[in-house]
This record gives sequence, structure tokens and C-alpha cells, in this order.
Amino acid sequence: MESPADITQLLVRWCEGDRDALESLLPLVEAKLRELARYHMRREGPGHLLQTTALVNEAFLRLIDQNRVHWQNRAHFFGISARIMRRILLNHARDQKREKRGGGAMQVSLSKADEVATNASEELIALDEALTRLERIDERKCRVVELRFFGGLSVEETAEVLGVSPVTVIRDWTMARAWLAREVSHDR
Amino acid sequence: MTDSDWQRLEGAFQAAAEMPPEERAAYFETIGTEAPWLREEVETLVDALDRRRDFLERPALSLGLQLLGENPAQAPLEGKTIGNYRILSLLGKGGMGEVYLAEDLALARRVALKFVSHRLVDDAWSRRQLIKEAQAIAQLDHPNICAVYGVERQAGYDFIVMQYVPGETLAGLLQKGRLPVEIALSLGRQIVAALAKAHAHGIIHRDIKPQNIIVTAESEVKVLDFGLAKFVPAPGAVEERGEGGAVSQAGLILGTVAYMSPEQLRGERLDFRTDLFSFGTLLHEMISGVNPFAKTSQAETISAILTTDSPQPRTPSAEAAGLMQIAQKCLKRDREERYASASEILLDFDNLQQGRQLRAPGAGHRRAWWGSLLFLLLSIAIGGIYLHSGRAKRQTLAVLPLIAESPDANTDELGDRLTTNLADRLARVANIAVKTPTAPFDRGRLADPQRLARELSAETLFIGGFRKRGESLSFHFTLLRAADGARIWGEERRIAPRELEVFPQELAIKIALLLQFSLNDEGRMLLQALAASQNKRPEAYELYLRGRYYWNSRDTEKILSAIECFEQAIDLEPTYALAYTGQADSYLLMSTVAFGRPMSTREAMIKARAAIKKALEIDNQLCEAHTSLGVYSLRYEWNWPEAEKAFRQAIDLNPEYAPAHYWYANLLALTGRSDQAIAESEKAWTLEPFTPHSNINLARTRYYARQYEAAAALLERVLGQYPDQQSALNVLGYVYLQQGRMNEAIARFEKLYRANKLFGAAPLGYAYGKAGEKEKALQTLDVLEAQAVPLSQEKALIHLGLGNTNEAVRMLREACAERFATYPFLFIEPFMNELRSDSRYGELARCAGFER
Repeated sequence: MESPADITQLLVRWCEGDRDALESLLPLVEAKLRELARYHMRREGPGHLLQTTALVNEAFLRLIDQNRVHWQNRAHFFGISARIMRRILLNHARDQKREKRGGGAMQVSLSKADEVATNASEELIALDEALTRLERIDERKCRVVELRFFGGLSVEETAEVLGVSPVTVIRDWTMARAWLAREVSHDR
Repeated sequence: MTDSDWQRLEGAFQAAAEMPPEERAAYFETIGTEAPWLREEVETLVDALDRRRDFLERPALSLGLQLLGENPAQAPLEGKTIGNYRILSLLGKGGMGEVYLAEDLALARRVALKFVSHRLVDDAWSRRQLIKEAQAIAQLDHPNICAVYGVERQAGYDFIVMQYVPGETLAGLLQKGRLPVEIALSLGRQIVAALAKAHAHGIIHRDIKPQNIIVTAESEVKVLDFGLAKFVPAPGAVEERGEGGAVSQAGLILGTVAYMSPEQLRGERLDFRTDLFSFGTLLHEMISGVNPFAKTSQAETISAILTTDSPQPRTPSAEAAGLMQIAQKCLKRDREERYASASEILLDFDNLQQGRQLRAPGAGHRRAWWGSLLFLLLSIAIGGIYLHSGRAKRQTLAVLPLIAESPDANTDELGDRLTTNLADRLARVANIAVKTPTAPFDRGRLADPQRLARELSAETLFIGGFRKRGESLSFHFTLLRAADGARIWGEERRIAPRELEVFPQELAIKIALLLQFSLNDEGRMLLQALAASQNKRPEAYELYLRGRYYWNSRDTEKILSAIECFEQAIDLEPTYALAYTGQADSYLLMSTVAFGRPMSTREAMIKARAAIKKALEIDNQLCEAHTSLGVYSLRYEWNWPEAEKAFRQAIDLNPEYAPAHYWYANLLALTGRSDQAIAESEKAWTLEPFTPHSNINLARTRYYARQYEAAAALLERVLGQYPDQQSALNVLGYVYLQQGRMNEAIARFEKLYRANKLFGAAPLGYAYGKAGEKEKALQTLDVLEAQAVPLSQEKALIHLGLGNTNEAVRMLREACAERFATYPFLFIEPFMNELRSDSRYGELARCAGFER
């Protein structure tokens, strides 16, 4: 198990521009998030989860050595959580698709979340691919989508995280949505 | 697309998106003449957005989190070998997870393994709770209770190992219709016998239903899953707990809702009478063949349970009428009207079989020879707490005269008055016998309180004293268990003159609650009044008191109970600031080795911080909360200025609160101000001269100041009174080490080790190492190595004793990285001197926040 010091080190490296660090970081954060999410769902029921980003917050608090990372730049923090959410949803969507294709063992839908995900899984996969293309053309727009859609941030929060004005975020967001909507419908 | 094309596209798109739709066609025309590709791009983009206005507008974060919370699908386990168990077949699925038949390869027997869903126990805390519960259940040795052998974690699975009982569930039997009266009576009697046994151990089943009862081919009953229901998530319980459900005659699938008691459905605090209600439902169904509350929908079923006061009896035969009467009494909506205990039902089964009058109809106030037992069970009902074994008769409490410790003619008389008043109050509020020695009382006899207790044939002794301090009285008392002289509770406080009248009442209630005596009507009224004077509901106040009682015992298991009490108190009174500080104080203790570290430092401290924050939000003038904040800053943040600020504020708010002083003394010692530290410890000591903690603290401060003789004297005195006091044994051992009294030190540490392995292993190992007993030292190291919790600092100590400096330093680095609560204190420890010359000492000290 990685110690808080290791995780902090990875985080610092990522903040300094080391992309590999993020790749090592993601599974660690994901595991902690998974544990916390289960814990809270058991305690409070799924409803509570829907209301808050506190969980992501908590995961980081537990993972890192806070003396060494000061969240002056919240971009790192929210950036990671949005990235994780993107990955989790994508994996889930892929599983769903695989299951469907496999036919035979159709699972009985366990929850509303599953139903939503089943309907949306094809689109999520297409969205992810389109987003990767968008990143190559205009990286900031991709970040805006990650933070807004996967990270659940408001326009103002996104602006703060990216260090741009809210107007810029709105414009990026509109354009990115239009572009992605078009790409996704082409793909299908 | 080039960058400049992209920028051009963006500009054009933004312009189009921001203009009114009716103007767009003209705009497209304009750009189309210039660059047809641009028009194409912009038009398709605007169109795509128009068609999907809400695209991506709902964040996916929540969905992602929800998916995270779910379990990855589990592969079937059949045929696998996990640890010592070969899984044979799936027996069934329950609310907690799946149950498999397995072979215990070590003992060559068949067992049932109940796999616990990760959703239920994926954190250390819940796991511990589950283990605790399973241990309690494992204590239940009864022919009608399915035995629990243990809880194990193997290969990433958590499971409970249980006795495998071949047979059919009662649910299966009931599918064929109602049971013959004699069978119903026999099964009913066995189920109730199991309940009586469990209730006597303080265990509530919470989920009595036909699926949880197995009937063997010999018609022997085994009740499954005692106490486990509470690990099944509560909020969604009603929807999620269907596990096949009972099939009624009408062929309706029911969840387990149909067997729940009204108080359970309402989410109230449960006592054992919930089981009696569920049993009533079961009995009713056994005789009549139908569940009395089952309706076509769950909502209707719930409504029936909540609104029916004893369902209509359906009696197929005259012989069944008696059993139905018993069921009816179990099914009273108001639990006060039900049978008061499982044993009482057994009596009625006897009465029924022998053709005697039943207690069931209208019985409520008669008390027979077993009245005292009933009272005791009632006391669990009121307190919801454990019944100590062997407490089968009315308790006797001896109240010994309060001793006036300041020589003053009036104080003796005052002491007698207070004593009489208190004894009188106690006798009036609770159902106990109170004895006082006959006057004139020879004070010399207090030297042997156990003998006094024998003479008065009392189980518990109250002794205390007081002295005048200005206008007010400084009062202390101790409750002792007569059998072994163990201290149950001790407390000191100052009483203002105006409190003199109220004080004995308050104290009487407190003692009654602490000793788990059942309150009578007067007691309950008084409790209500007391709680009201603090703006609290009586139940919450009681829970808070009980929480503090458990907390004060400084015992691992009890700390967990304390947290539970505080949590429940907060549930009842969400703005109960003191309950939050109680919670915080429990978490603060929990990260230390003495308490077995059921959770990591980080986890405990995060919880402590949250509770402190909450307490201060509710009341930022609360001395206790500021003290807790100081302890948190001192022991986890290692932020000395913050800690100092908090302690000073706490002392400003209430200069009489001893813990604020002794914790502050710790900080002062740590930051090299020994004189001030001693002064502060002494202040705490004058406030609570009889409490072990303030004595031990003063001794520790003197030890840090290298005043070993004074420290030893204090500790020896504490141990004279409380021979098993663990912290005193620990500190005294170190004092002796510094005095070169090696054998005496080892004797203290050995005693500590026997009482608390985890706490004692490191000091003992260190001392062994110093004494040249290498083998023994290594053995203590093995004990620590075998623990699942991180114990780096403890191991470091043993290595230090053995002279393995490199290993010690490595372990200390780990301890620092974990922010082990007592790590900084190492740097004022006399025994660390030997490491001071090491080149790495500076680094270790800096890690704790020291400059040098």
C-alpha cells in the first residue's frame, strides 16, 4: 500500500507536469474513492452522494500528506477527480456494452443508476472518444468538459480552477458541447 | 484543421450561437460566400446544439460516485478453497450476503460460511463492529442458537463461520400451511428459549422471521443470525431486504417487513421487546397459517403494523386459543403492554401446558416470585444495556458517610446531612436497596471498604469526601465493586452553595444510571427534570452520561461503546455539543496503542476533528470542546501554538476543568517549559486530587523534568489504590528504569503486558533489551509484528532497547510519517538521550516539528 508520502510525491510530480505521475495516481485515488463511496452509501444511502463533491474531497484528505500539498491551486485536485470519474464511467459503459454483446447473461437491472448507465453507455463511449479528439484540437475545452460534466463543477468553479473568466468558460462550454454533440451523433 | 481555422470557426460559431435564431440564416449566407467550409461547420454545430439543448448539462459526477459504491460482480465461489474452507454449495442469499456450505479442512467438519458483502464491512471500523458482535454471539452457548465459530478474513473475503444445521427453515414449513398446536408450542418454546438466552447477554436479534429459524428433522429449533441484522443498511432496509420473502397463502411475496415491530419500522431505538413482537407475528402465523399483517403491498403491510393494536385472533381450534392469547400479548403495538421478557412468555407456555390461568390477558401489574428478574430485564429495556451475569437479585448499594476533609466543626454535620440526603434520594429514584452503616460510624473502618461491604451485604460501595473551598464545596466520590474492590466510577466536582439542594438528586440519578439500576416513576421524573434543565431530552442526557462512563473506563471495547452512546445521543439531539466533544475525546484516545488502535491515526483524527468542529459550531464557548481541539492540535497537527491557544481559551472559559490543565501541562513539557508544566499539572491535581489521571499526569510531568523520586511516589500511591491502572504501571516502569531499578521496572511492565499486550509489549521489550534479555525482547517484538495495526513507534522502542539503532530509526521515520500521536514526546523522553548523538536524531526531531 502506498503511503501518504508516496501519493503526495506523485501529486507534486503531476503538478510539475509529469503525466506519468497521474497514471500512477489514478488507481490509488480510485481505490480510496471506491471505499469511501461504499462506506457512505451504506451509511446514508445513495441520495446523499448525489448532492456533494465532499466525498472526493475526503478521499484526498485521507490520501495525502497535507503538510506538503497546499491546495492553493485547486485545479489539481478537481482535475484528478474529474479525470477519475471520466475513467470510471467509461469502464462501466464498456462493461455494459460487453455484457450486452455477450447476450446470454443479461443481468437484472440492480438500480436506477444502472438503467441510466445502460442507456447512456454507448453514448459515453462515443463521448470519450470525441473528447480525446477535442483535446488534441483545443485542450482547454476538453478540461472544461471534464470539470463541468465529469467533475460536477459550476461555471464559476471551473473558471477559478482554470484561471480564466466565467465568460470564457461559458463560451468554451457551449462550443465544446456543440462540437461533441455533433461528433457523437456522427459516430452513431 | 489548423489552429487558425479552429479559431476562426470558434469566432464564427460564438457569434452565431449568441445571436437570435432568426438572424442566423443571413449570417450563414454571409460567411458562406467567404468560406463554404466555415458555413458548413458552423451550421452543423449550431444545429447539433439546437437538437440537443440539454447535452452534458447534467453532471456525471454523481453517477460516477454511485457506480463506485457498487460491488464488482462476484464470481461464484463453489469449488473454491478459501483459507481452511472448501466451499461446497450455495445454501442461500441473505441481506448480508451469500451463505455457503463448506468443509472446514482443519477440523474436518461441515460449517456454514456467511460471506459479508463488502458494501457492509469495507472499513476497519465496521469490521471491528462486526467482529465484536460475532464475539458476543459466539458467547451464546444454547441448544437453540446456531453457534457462531468466528469471523475471518481470507483472500479478500470477510465471512462468518457458523454451525451448519441441516434442516428446513420455518418459512418452508409454513408454506405448507399452519402447524399442529403441539408442534407450534414446541417450536415456539424453543425460539423463546433462544431469545431469553440472548437477551440475558444483552443481544437483540432484530430480525426474527421464519427464514432465520431452522427446524431439524428431530424438530429441534436453531435460531440464526443473532444481532447481525444491524449490519444490514438501515435506510433502504424496507426495500432491499426482501430475500425471497415468505409466501403467504394468497401467494404474495413479502419482504421481511411483515415481521418487523412498529418501533423498528419507525426507526426508534430498539430494545429486546422488538424480538418479542416479531416472535408474536411468527407464533400467530404458526397457529393460523397467515401472517397477521401481510397485505398485498409493502406500504399496506407497514401501515397495518403501525396502526393495528393486536391483530384479530384467528383461531382454528380450541387448543390453539391459548397460544393465540400469548401471540396477542406479544403483538401489542405499545411495547410497554407486551410481555416484559422472553422468560415471561416461557412461563405462560408452562401455564398453558399445565392448564393454568395465563398471564397474557390483561396481565400487566402482577409480580410473582420472579419479579426481581423481571425488574432486571426491565432495566435493560430502559437502559438498553448489558445485563451482568449473576445479577439475579435486587442490588444493594452501601452509601458510606461522606468524609469532611477540612477540619471545621460545621462540615461534619454537613457531611452527614449530604450522606443521608443522598442515600434517601437513591432509595427513592431507583429500584435498589440502599444501606448506610449505623451511627456512630468509625471512620477508621473506611480503610477496608470490602469488609464493610460484606458486613452490609452490598454489591456496590459509595465512598466519598469533600472539603470546603471558600464558599463552595469540593466534592469527590468513588463507586467500588465490593467483590474485588475495582473502581467503577469516580468523579470530582465543585458545588456552589446554591447547588447544595439539587446536588444529591442529580447525583442519585447519575449513580442509578451508571450502575444500571432501573429508575422508578420518581426517578424518571427527576431524570426528565434534569435533562430539561440542560435543554436535553432525557434519553439523550442518559446516553451522554453513559457514554462518558464508558469513555472514563479507558478500555478499548468500552471506548467503542462510548462512541455508540454519543452517536445515539446526537441522533436524538443533533445540537448536543457535549456529546460531540465526547465523541471527539473518544476518537482522540482511540488512536493510541493503549486502546488497541482499532483505526488508523489519520482516520481517528479526521473523525475527532469533525466532531470538534461540530461542537464548536454549536457552542464556541464550550471549554470541553476547546480542550479537545487543543489535544487534537497537540497530538495530530503537532501545531504547538494552535494547541496552546486552544488550551488557554479552554482555561479562560472554565478554570476548573482539570483536563484542560493537564493537557496544557503536556504541551508545556513538550515545548521545554518544565516549571510551567509542573505548575499546570499541579493545578489539575488540586482540582481533582483523587482522580488517577491527574495524579499520573503530574507524575509524568515530573518524570519529564527528571524528578524521578517525586514521580515514583505519586505513581506508587495511585497503584496502591488502583493496582491495575495501566498508565500508572507504564510511567512507573520508565521512572524505575531511569532510577536504575531494572527488576522493579520489568515487574511493572510485565504486569502491564499481562493486562494489555499491545500497550505493554514495547516498554517490556525495551526493558528486556536493556537488561540483556535479548530472546525475551525479540518475543515481544514478535507479538507486535503479529498485529494488523501499524505499531512502528512501539517496535522502534524495542529495537532501541536492543541497540539496533538503524532499525529503530527506520521505524521512527514510519511513526512520524503516520503522525503517531505520542511521537513528539519521544524527544523529551530521558531514554532518548542515547540516540541524541546519532546523526539522524536531528532529522527525526525536525519531523516532529522541533527546530533542533
